[in-house]
Amino acid sequence: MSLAAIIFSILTIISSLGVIGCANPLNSALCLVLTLFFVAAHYAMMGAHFVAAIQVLVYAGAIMVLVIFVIMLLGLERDESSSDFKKPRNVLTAAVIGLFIGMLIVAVQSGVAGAPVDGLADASIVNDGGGHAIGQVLFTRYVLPFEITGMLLLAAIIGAVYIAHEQRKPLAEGRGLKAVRNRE
Amino acid sequence: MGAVTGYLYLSALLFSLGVLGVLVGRNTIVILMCVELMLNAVNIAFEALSVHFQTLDGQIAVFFVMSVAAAEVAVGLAIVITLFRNYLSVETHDAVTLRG
Amino acid sequence: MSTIDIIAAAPLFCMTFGILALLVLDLFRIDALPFPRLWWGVGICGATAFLFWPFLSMNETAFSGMMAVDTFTFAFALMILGGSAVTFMLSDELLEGQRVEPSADLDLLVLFSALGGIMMVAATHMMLLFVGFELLSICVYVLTGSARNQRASSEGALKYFILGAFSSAFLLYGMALVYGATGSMYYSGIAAHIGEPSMMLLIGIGLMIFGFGFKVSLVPFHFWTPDVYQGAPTSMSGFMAVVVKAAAFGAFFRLMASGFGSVSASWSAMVAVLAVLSMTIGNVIALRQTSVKRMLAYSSIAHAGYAMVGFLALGEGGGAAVVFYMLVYSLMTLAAFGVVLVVSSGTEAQYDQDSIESLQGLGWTHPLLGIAMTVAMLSLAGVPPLGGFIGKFYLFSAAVRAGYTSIAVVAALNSVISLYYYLRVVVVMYFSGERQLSWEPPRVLVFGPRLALILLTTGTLYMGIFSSRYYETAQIAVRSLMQL
Repeated sequence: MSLAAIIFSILTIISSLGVIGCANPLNSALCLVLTLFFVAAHYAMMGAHFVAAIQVLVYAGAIMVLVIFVIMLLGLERDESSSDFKKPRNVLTAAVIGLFIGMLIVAVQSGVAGAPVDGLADASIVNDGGGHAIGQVLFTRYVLPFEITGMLLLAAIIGAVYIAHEQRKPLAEGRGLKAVRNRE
Repeated sequence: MGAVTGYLYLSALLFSLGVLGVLVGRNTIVILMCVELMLNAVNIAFEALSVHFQTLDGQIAVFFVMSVAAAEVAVGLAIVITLFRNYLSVETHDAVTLRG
Repeated sequence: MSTIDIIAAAPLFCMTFGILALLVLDLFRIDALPFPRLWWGVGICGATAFLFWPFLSMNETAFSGMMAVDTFTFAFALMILGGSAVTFMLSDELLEGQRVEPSADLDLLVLFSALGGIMMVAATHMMLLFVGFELLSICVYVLTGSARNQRASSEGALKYFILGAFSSAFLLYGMALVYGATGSMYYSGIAAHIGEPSMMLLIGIGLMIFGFGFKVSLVPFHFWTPDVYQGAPTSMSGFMAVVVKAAAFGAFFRLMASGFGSVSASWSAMVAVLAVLSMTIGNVIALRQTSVKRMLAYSSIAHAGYAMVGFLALGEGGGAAVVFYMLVYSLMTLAAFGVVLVVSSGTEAQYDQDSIESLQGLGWTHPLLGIAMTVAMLSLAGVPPLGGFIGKFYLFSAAVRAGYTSIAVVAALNSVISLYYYLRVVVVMYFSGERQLSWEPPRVLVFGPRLALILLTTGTLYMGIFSSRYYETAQIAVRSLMQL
């Protein structure tokens, strides 16, 4: 890995530690935005410019905006409750995670397969980094998962709207989101 | 191929940090964000493998994972909002509180 | 598009157009349908099932090798569509009791999940598996929380969502590792290039089992199941216990058998442990339950354990046994949930009348419900000559043939233990000395649930006696899978 990649990797790890460890959920969200930017940087360094752009637009730009929106809407930025990392249960969890990392490192050590089996091995279309090749593949070989993903997005829209929709019959006075904002 | 192994280590570390965050987290939305962290770790792994194999399959996988993650977050946040609304309007039905 | 693509796409198109038509109808509030809206869902499921019929005798792949057009897909597609149709029929009751203006949203989500489930089972490429898996899951998260003014429902939905997203991330990471180790995402490509299983491959398989284990509620991934089944609206609990589980088992089967079949020695041990744990812990905890829905949840955990036994004996007919067992399991579990649903219909009642005691005297006041529940309970316990017994017989005998006699013995012992809590329900219904229900039942049985329960009960009895033709179809299905 090049020096730049290593530096960005360290930055990614640090900001993801911020996601886990911040007391304020809003700070966690902002750390996650930072992490997503660093991941996009990794994609760009690997030569996948289109994916890097999409990462910034969709992940950091849309998903995280939604998350921050909800945090502020529900008034959670006033909750300062972080996990106490000295509790025995959390120490045990951290130890288990340590073992888990060990297992994954063993997995990576054993080596990756040498050559692709049935991929789209035309190097020229891979290295252009842009959308042309991806679009071509998405509508020929991967058309079925693509269409099902479209159905998934439709289902998610219907589901999210249904679940979050305010009931026609109002609940008692002063309940719901108003109460959130008045809460101390 | 040093580069791909390096990225796979990074991916493993990020994934594990995400798992730790989910298991230890106290705020629901922070837990959700740690799941997103895990998904990003997987995306890094797929992308690195795509570059290593010089094929597009891994990159396409990244696309699918991103779209699915977006949909999942939308639905998850909607559920959180509903729960919040119910939690505050406790009167409707107090009889069942799920244990565990 | 080639011919095979068109044959493969026909049922998918039917389903999609049905969903979109329902969406448009609902959007413009076209209430002038000549039939109740719920039956639209049954109709779509029926039409799609009809279009799956050509799959019965084929064995190919479509859409650039992504989707399998074979008997296995046919079998599970019919199970998933049948389960969805029954869910629609059983839900007929609920709609009348609601105060909120009815909308088609929930029906749409059930149909979407059915589509996702079918895609999961038909997938021969890991990306289609993942996308189908997520389509199924996301819809079910929403369906769990669909009783929006019930706190238990929202809590269940949140718990299911968090754990579901967590485990699908594990599934995905497993996919990445397997891709790295073999260089292919097609099941056939994976199988062709496993060679010496490396640690990366094995750990990848382990992570994928983790992801699936959650969906199928194996121990130790089962902690969400009782709470979520209890909190969700009862029709959706039935849907989850049957359709989601069948789809996940089918997808898992195809992945393990055609992708990782050659290294089965490596993962059999893990599967055996999970199977035994699920059976035992599921049964033992079910003994102490007082809520019917929780009891059924633990029962479904135990049954997942029984089904996993079939995975150990893939070469000796265990695979066909698993497929057949999914069929019988669907019939009997849906019947049980259906009775619970009818007994406690109406959105508030089902959260109050959840206890076994509330069934006292049901056998005398509502004979149809009593019979349906009795048949379901006895079949779940594995009493001959019902479907449940035949299913377990096939499973355990396959295990014995493959050399796992001790596990078969454990399974048989577990079945005996389970008799206690299944029979307890029957005793409460008929022999508790009450001839009257101790509370006011909401209404007379509407046509939808009545038809559904009659079909399910007849099916369970039928499977007990005439199982051989269906078992043979299951055998063909599994054989076609192994060759793909």
